[in-house]
Amino acid sequence: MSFPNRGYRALLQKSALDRDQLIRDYFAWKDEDVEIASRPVPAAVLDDIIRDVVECKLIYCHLPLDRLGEADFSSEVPTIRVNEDFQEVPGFANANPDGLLNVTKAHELGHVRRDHGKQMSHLRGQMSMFGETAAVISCPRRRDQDNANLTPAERKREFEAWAYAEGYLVFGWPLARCAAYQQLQESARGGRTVSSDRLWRAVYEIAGELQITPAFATVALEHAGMISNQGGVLGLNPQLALLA
Amino acid sequence: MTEENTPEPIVPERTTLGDYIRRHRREKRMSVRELADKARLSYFYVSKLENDQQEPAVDALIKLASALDAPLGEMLALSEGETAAILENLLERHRTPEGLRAARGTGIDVGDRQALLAELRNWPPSLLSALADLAGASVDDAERLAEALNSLVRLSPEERRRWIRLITTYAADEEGRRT
Repeated sequence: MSFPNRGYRALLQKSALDRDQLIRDYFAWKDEDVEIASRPVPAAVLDDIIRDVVECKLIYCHLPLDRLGEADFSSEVPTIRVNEDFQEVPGFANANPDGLLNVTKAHELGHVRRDHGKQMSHLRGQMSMFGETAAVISCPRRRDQDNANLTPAERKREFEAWAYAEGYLVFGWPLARCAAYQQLQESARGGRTVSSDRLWRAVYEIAGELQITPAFATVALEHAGMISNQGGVLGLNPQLALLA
Repeated sequence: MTEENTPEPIVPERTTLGDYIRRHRREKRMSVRELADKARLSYFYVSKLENDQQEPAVDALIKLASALDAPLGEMLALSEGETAAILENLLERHRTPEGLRAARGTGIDVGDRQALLAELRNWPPSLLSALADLAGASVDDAERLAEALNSLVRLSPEERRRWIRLITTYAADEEGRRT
């Protein structure tokens, strides 16, 4: 996985700005004065933001077992549906339930924020543009069927929705606030070698803190330039980490 | 106040129970989780009620009305908290191995929901005993409650709503006197 290009980084930044505005709006609505440093991680207020700031319907329901969630713009109020049977979706039996739900909801929120008004209904589909690890998150279907039913425009929208999810859940202050991430930065600055096992531990700690899946955290750390991933063997990427 | 003077609930036409809960929750600036915590209900249950995905249990409505400081009568009316739904919820709660065994004892086909609901109007002893157990009352009291419910079934929807309002007002008054 290469360091993301400027266009992708711009998408992340845009999503993160949107997230920060949504969080501000949420606390303004709650009439609570919450300092930046004590803001909850974005995943913790994701449901509330979807329901009470974006004013979407958020429905946990039974969906076909080929999808984790969907954004539906066919009614007056946009609706995000999350498959409550997601652990029966092939490939997700052992998934971290809360993390997977958050990643799914953030992805669908991405559709709402980016696509609402474009007259799209029942958007669905998955992308494997995040490589091996992200395919675990995003592609319940067999690899050889990936994206088979998506037009280029739909692929772009799916890609952007995943970027939105990453921007919302991870990019910027949420990642920077993680203790494990700060330790990795220290190691990078000190030029120390960090084993793959230790990096995986850091990935899991970051995933736990941000309430996302380890696979999603891995991809986000790659995009942040902090780590490289060679077939499951992680390496600290000192030069890029210093840029992150 | 006479029944004739009882004001109609201020609920816009076509409002669902979910809309009603959402509106009151948002007026209180509470998140769904905060409401669920305050009402001591599960988050997913309240979420489903707000989306009209779940038939509400009467005791859940009582908790929600209290947590939202909203009129229970309106919530009951919206939930079509009329006898059939209440009975069905009661039945659901008693779909336990014991409840099923008791129902089997009466020869009721527990697989046929409609037939079972029809049977319930005759209030078999096992159900009366379950109802008494649920309400923490004696079987005699449960019999009287069953009679009252049967009377409610025979009323028009409007009359039924009036009675439910009166009952809930009385219950709230009693609750206030106890506390």
